[in-house]
Amino acid sequence: MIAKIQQYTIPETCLHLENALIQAFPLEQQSPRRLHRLYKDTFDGRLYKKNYLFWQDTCESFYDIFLHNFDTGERLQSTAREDVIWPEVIESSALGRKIQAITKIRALMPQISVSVRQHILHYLGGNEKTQLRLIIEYSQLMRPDGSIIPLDKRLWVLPVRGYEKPLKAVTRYLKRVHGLRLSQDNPFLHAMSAAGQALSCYSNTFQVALDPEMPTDQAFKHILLNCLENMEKNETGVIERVDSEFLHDLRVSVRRTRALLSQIPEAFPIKVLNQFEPGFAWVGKITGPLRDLDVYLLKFDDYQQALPVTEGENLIPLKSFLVRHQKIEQKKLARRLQSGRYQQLKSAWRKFLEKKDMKKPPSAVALQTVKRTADEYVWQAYKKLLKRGQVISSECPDTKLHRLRISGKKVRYLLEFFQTLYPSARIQPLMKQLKKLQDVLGDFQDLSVQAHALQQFESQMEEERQLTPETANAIALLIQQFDARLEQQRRAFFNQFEAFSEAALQAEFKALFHSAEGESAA
Amino acid sequence: MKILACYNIKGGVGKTTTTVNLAHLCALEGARVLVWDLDPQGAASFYFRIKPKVKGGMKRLLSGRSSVSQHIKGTDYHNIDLIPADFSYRHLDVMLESMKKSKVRLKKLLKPLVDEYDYVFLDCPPSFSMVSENVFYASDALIIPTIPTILSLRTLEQIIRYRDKKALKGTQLIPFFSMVDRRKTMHRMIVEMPPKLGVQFAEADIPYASDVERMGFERKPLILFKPNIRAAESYRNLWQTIKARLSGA
Repeated sequence: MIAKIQQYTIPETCLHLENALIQAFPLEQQSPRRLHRLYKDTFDGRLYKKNYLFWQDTCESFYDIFLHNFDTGERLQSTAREDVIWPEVIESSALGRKIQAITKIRALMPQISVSVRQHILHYLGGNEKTQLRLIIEYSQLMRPDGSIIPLDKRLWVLPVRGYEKPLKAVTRYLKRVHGLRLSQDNPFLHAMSAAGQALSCYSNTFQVALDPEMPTDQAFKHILLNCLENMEKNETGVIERVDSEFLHDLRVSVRRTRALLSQIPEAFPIKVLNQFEPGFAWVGKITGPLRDLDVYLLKFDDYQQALPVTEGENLIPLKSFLVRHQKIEQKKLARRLQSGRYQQLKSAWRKFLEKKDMKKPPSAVALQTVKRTADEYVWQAYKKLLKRGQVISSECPDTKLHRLRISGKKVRYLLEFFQTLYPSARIQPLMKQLKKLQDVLGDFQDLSVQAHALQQFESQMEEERQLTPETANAIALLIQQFDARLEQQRRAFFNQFEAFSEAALQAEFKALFHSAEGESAA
Repeated sequence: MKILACYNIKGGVGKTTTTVNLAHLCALEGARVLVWDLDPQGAASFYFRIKPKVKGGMKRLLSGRSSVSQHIKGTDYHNIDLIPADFSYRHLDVMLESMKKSKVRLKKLLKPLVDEYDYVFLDCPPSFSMVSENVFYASDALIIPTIPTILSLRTLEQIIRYRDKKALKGTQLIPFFSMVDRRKTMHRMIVEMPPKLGVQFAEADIPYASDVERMGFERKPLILFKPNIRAAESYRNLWQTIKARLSGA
């Protein structure tokens, strides 16, 4: 059994703890040192959500980096020669692999930095062997105006494996003599709150609480305002190219906006639709090329692994081509997101969304309760999806499956928008089942789109004189593989659709969205 | 988890200093490292200031009455743990001989630690025995410090022949020149033109240096008290070469 790292917050009243410890135990003092500590996490706080804390202490020419798990008390430590934005820098270490498993494709971003004075005490046993480490940390927060906010004093007790006795003795002493209790406090949160900063609660999962009795137009504004805010939250990350998820999430918000405008147009005045639908279609269009390149680069390792080693290596010129074009598209997009057209689109949209009431409601739908609208539109979209799915045969053209995917997407967006109007325990299984169907259809779509895109890249590479016969051959092999997998996905669709269209699920859809009560109300 | 054994039939060739320095360099990169001091003389345990004592001795460990995990001690360095030496290791050969599947006992003992460590370094006793056979079977690579002399090269040949005879092709042999004294003509000649023995010497020879010997006095890895001397640089190069060889480069 490996003992956990222990943490104590030292109260103001507990003076001279360090000296008291030195008198009570055979401790050797290391010279105190000052550190610049930077806490980092992903934009959506993936480490924090899993109860991990990552920080890097700047030393002379390198960084000491740490990953602390508050659940297990385990702490991984490593060093890095450069600022850790991607765990690849430290991939060879256990710490790097652990972070990679949690953060996946998101970059580590600075959250808050503190100045730390660190006093390290070594509990020495026979042969001057360290049997326990005690670290007292005095942290301060430097404000941009130069003022200093003292943070708490903290004691970390770091056990050394195989030496339990000193740990027990020190723990007992801290409790009995100084009345200290173990703490689970997160120093990062403490620093954030002292700086008056709120932790980013960003999540790309759609969750807008709606009141069932709300008029539809108001509920929709509520939903759309949330989409607009999420777009804005992701803009800087796209412009500064922090990681590819910012663009992904921005595009999701744009798609959600467009979906609501196009699926329930009755709720909006014609003038509004005419003004904003083309505007958001434009945002979708300008963000598309970079996202496509991101996707191909994210999948590049899979492409290589799908081929024999030599052919996989022959794909490297394709990667260079994608990276080069990614940079070009990134610059283009950054410019467009800072353009007057984009800013005007957003400000006009916000103005419309924040306007309390419409003078002339466009239709009865705008005034009816959002619950009623949700029932009607989800049920219609669901029926359409079932009908389209039932006529899919093993010989039908690919386009039919693509159209079915779009129908499924419409139902999915509606379910996401209106999920809080229904009992979570009942709507979640429906969403889960639909997601499985959408995943199969999405993979089918990806494979056919990717094959086409690869052919386009190939001709573009040829135009740019970047294509060698070996690379062309590797691309051809890859396209062959896509074709073979396309057939597998088509077979997988039938299984998923069977599960999605089973009687019990149909009955549940009906009960939730087309109940007798709903019908009478309609 | 990669298992690397620092091994040679000959004694006094720099096995323990190599183990300690490589383990330290490896841990600095953030890898979780375990050193097992298999030599009853307990030199690696001494370097790490840990008492050479395994509760109940090796017999208890081999019989399965205690697990390896119970005997692991944390060192003074982050990410490095140690299983200390024990005087009972001197009878390890006899103990192993009397057991079933005697050649894979060591490998079996280390198996439960596979998720806990990234690298295990075995500091081996200088012999050709059942312990050595176990080391061969357990290790991904044998790091072989070789003094550039005729007799040392002869022992290296014996190790290569043994590996081939036992068809242990999965165990890489990574010899390197150790305790190289460039004032000696023979050392210079051998290092500059190593004999073709069918294995490639790592391109990082460790010079004979009094600072390396001082490790016993400091009881610290070389890089901590003489980070800039040539020997420290050579150990860094050696570790990079070993990593490259392990990854198939």
